[in-house]
Amino acid sequence: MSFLKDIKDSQTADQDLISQYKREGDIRILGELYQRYMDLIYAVCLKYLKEPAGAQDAVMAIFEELVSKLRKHEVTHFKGWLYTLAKNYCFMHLRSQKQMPVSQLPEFMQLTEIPHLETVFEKELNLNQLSKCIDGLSPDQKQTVQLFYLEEKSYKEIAGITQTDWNKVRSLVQNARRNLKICMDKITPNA
Amino acid sequence: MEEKSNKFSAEYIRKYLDGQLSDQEMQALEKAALEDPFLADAIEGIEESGKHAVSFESGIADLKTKLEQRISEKERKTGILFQLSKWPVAASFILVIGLAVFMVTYINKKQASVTLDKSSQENSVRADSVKRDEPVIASVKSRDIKKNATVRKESITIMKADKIQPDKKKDNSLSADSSRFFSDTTHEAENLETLARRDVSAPVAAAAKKDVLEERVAAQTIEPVVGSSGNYIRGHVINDQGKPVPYAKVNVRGSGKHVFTDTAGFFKLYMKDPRLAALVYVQPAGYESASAELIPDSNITHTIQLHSSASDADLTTFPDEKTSPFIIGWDAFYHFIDSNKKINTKDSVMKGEEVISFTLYSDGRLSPFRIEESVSSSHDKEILRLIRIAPALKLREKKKIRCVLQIRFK
Repeated sequence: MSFLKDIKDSQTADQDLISQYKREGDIRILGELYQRYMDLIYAVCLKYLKEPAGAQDAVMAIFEELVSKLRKHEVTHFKGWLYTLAKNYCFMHLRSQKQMPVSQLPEFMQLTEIPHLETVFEKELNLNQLSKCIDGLSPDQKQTVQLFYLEEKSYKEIAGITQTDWNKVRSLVQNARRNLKICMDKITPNA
Repeated sequence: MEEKSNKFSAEYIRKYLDGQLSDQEMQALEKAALEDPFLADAIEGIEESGKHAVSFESGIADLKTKLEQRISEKERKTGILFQLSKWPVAASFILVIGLAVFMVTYINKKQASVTLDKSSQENSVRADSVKRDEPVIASVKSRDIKKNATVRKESITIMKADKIQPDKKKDNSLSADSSRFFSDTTHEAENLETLARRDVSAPVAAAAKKDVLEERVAAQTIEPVVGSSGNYIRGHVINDQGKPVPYAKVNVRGSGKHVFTDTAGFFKLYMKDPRLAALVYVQPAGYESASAELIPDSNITHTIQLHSSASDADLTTFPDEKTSPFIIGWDAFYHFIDSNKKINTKDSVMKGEEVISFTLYSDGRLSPFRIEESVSSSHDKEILRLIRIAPALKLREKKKIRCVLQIRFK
């Protein structure tokens, strides 16, 4: 399982492989590229499809899509693009099986949130505004977010400190984050 | 940010979930997951894998082997294709497909249980084709007579009208022969079609009135061939004894579309592209599902034979009594209605089957109702009344499901 370890973190290497594949049409190059992310893609498929066998089939089907799509499309952020491709594949599959919860449908239409979150990250640097927004949170969320972001505690530690469940901590952080984002957007609408 | 999260491999996530990382490392991963939905989903996926017998690592190992196999296979394929020049490959492809289409058409024509042959290209032969169709009407009629002990006069009228209806849509100038024969029924058919297609959930009494005709108007299994495009796949679903299977769900794979077979087991599917074959799935309650690859051709009625599911042999007459794995409380629901049904009007002498379909939602709501087959309007009313007060149905897992309730009055 050596390929699990040598995930190279340089985007240019991905890009190089993509242009090489486009030039030469050699599927081995694509295989090499795909192996870098195959474990994560498998995990994503597992999350949505729940079944190991189904997830494995999906990983292979996504590879097939990659073979044709990468020739046609200009991809600059391969990792984000691949994630979207994988997620959409899973949703399509669930939908064809009629197991798709309706509430998840809108998500299917969205791209990954990465570019959007980048701006959120920048905004977080503006601590003055942030502290104002933190004060506006519910006591639970406020405490959790302070422990997580300001004191840099992990979910597990926070769960220990606040005597709550690990999953509850995770959702508190996620909800607090969303509320903070809304609050920050209100203060600096054009940022 | 992209680079940051690239550091986290599946192995690393596994360590995180197993609690092998330091608090600092854990926090860094959690923070990164909040920024990167890919990573967040991957964490949840690996968490999910803990619930299964197959470990995540062995899954990855399997996948690696599969990918390697695929790559070598693909190499071979592309290698062969590249050796040949483009045009001969294209030409042979077309030849093969052409031959296949010819063969399938030929075989199906031979096997077709109902073949309305010759798609006449000219409208002038209309009168002929109407005549040719007449024996088919007759056979359907007799089948219905057998089925519903009482056949009312108006339903016979409508079967004729139904017959002519599609013709009328396509061309108003009917030939002299056929208009003489059908002129008094065309109007009626139009009105009744509107009536019959209406949703009965709101004004139950009004719509239920003519619903007995609905399935005949809607089904159109014997639509005339004249002028019809080749976009339809027609089929006839029968069981292992050769009897028609009504209300079987027919899906087209990958499209999310479905239709139900009518009381005589026929179905019709509209395909956007008549050149493409569709993989059709038949999923009737009480039978093993079947699939077939069918090519749209209005002249052919494909016959699909089903086999009774081993578990329940006597479901052939009441296919919908079989409890779906997704519905809770169907038995109680069915028996309540079946045992409490009572007709107090003069219609109580009428016997036969009431078939009502409706959608069950996850919150227990039932709607819209459709009378698929009616004994009389009093029977419709009675069943709808009982559905309202019957023990509630519940859904397992699914968001909604279409149910068919079949109650026999004897």
